[in-house]
Amino acid sequence: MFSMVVFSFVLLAGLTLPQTADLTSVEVQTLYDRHPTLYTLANRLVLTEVFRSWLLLAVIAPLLYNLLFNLLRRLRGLRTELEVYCPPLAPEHVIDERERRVFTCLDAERALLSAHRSMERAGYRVAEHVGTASLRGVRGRYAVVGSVVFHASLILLIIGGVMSARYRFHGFVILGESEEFNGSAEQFVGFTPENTEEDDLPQVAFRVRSVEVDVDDDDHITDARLFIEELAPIGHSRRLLRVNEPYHAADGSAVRFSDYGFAPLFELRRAPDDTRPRIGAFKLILTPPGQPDQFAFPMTMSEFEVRLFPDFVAGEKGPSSRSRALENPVAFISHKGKQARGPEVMLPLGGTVQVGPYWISMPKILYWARLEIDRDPGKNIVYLSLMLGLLGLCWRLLWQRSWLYVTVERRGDEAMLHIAGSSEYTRRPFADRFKTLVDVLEKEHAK
Amino acid sequence: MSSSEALFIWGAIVCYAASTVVSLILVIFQKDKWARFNLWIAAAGVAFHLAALVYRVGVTGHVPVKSDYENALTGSLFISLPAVLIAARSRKLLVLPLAVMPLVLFLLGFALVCHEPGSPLTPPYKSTWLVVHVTFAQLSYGAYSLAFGAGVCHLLKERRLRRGLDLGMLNRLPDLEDLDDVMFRFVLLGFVASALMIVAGAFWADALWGNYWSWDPVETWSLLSWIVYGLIIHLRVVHNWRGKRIARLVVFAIIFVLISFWGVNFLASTQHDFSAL
Repeated sequence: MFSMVVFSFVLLAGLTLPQTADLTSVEVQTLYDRHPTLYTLANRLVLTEVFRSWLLLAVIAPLLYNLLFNLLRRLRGLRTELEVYCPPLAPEHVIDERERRVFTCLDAERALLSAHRSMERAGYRVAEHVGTASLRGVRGRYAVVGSVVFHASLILLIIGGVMSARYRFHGFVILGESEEFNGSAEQFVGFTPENTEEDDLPQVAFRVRSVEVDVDDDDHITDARLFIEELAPIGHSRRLLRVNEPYHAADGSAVRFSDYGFAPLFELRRAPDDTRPRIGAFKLILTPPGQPDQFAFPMTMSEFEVRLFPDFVAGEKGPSSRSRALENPVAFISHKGKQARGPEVMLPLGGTVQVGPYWISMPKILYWARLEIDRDPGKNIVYLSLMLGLLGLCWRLLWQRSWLYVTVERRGDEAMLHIAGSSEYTRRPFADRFKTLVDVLEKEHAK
Repeated sequence: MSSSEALFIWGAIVCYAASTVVSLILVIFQKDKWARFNLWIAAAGVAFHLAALVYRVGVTGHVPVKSDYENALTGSLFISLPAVLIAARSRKLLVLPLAVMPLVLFLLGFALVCHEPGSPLTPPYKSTWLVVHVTFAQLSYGAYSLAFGAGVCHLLKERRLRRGLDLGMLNRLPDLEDLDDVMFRFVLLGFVASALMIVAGAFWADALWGNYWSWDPVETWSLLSWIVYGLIIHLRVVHNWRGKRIARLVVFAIIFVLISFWGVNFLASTQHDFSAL
């Protein structure tokens, strides 16, 4: 429990202090500017990078040790627990004094026999203690198996989580229609080779054939489909991927179509009669119609700003788009010179316009697709542990143990019959069974 | 807001408010005969509430979890519905709706303030995991809220009893043992539901973001609150903590639930941005 509390405090520190790995890591800089001493202290204790630090591992290690220790202890005591195990009866083990009853009876032997039968009828496994003329019964003894399963699952979860943190590969590639991914490290977006060995790279290759997007009458995107051709490791098998429905390649990598956008194809000429234009499909990341984005042709030292309206309509307040469907695409392009941005020029699909010193035409508009390639050796262990954990938890919490004790204290011809009991979590179901037992005994044997 | 939707929501608010007033009269003036009548008013409120939810599902075509409005609408139903069902089942707990109705009214008021027209989910978010994840999230928050209500009642009554003061209207509350029992049952229900919520969320996050766990503030706060309630259960089962001590912890633990559900959006930037759905 102590390990859990320490773990909670570490999580709390990670949640309350700004983290460098966050999207808003500028907050760390603010902390540094405003409270340099606190920042220095937090930084030394790696509290500004809790979730990726040795501190988390240092907290998890004793937690893992405790879980292993507890699991072994439970496994050792499992046989005893599955026999008629009852904790020693003491006042604190009785949930409620209403579950304690004493009455006198004439025939203690018959009362004990009746109690034995009643307890068995109520589903209790009963053991008789001959020396002291007492009975003890336990119900729901298999609940303890759930506890063992749950603790084992937590150990698996930690192992799987550590494996994921250490060996997982996760990368993005952005490809236009008809482009290929050959599995090389350079094609990944934001890839840092120093963190990944060449052997860790997924062995997959594919070509993006086409992207199809359905837009309904209210301009809501209802479906998006990606058709790809797998080139490796199997070779030339065609697949249809819907958004976020992964396919698993033969090397264990999961490939997922996670995003898409417009990729207008531009041709750049230095003169209207230039027969060798430069061609490029530029992936416009900002998909909402009319959002300004930028592109540049290699070797031209020129940058252009573009706004794309997929379903263009000219309005009083300027150009806009009726929908996100590619019905009447029009681009507005301006040349970004060294000093200032040039005027914006309207370029319809299939047209050619002069932008700054160049002639630009837009013969086609393609889609680009973002594909997420993921290989995580720890993931299946984590999933297995989650399933086991849920099973163990539900088993343990929904299957409640309860105990009943009946003891006889002889006083001459009479006997005092003590009945008491308790249950693990809640009183209600046990209280009903206790009442039934007491009613039977009182009816038959009370003096 | 369409007239049908407004009718359903205002119908629910009026019924819940009337139920709160009648509950107060019932407790203060000890009008036992009004108890069943009060239950019917609260049940009518739940019926309106349910109708508003069904209407929203009909308009948007998805489970109502996309905006703050939809979350408040769903979350408040997960508190009021079990409260009314429990009150209907147990005569002793007839006043339980009173303990949680202010929270339900607050949530519905918040829903009205931030109402926005419904729209369908974008393709990436169309997933069965969304339904599973959100249903268990709302169920766990509802259960923890009801445990909190029972905990507050327990502490108030226990304090008066310990000091030997007149119980007054607290006399209408169930016995301490029953309150303790109800409180812990809700903690257990919330604990299992939040475990299912976290697991379903992990599966969905893997499908949606490519990673089953990314230490997002909402994820981490949910894990933290799950651990806190796990510790409460551990203290009860292993160390036999009961009554006042457990009630205090349950009341304290609601802070973590409130932060996971509401506060985290104000505290940090998170991937659980409902408006992006």
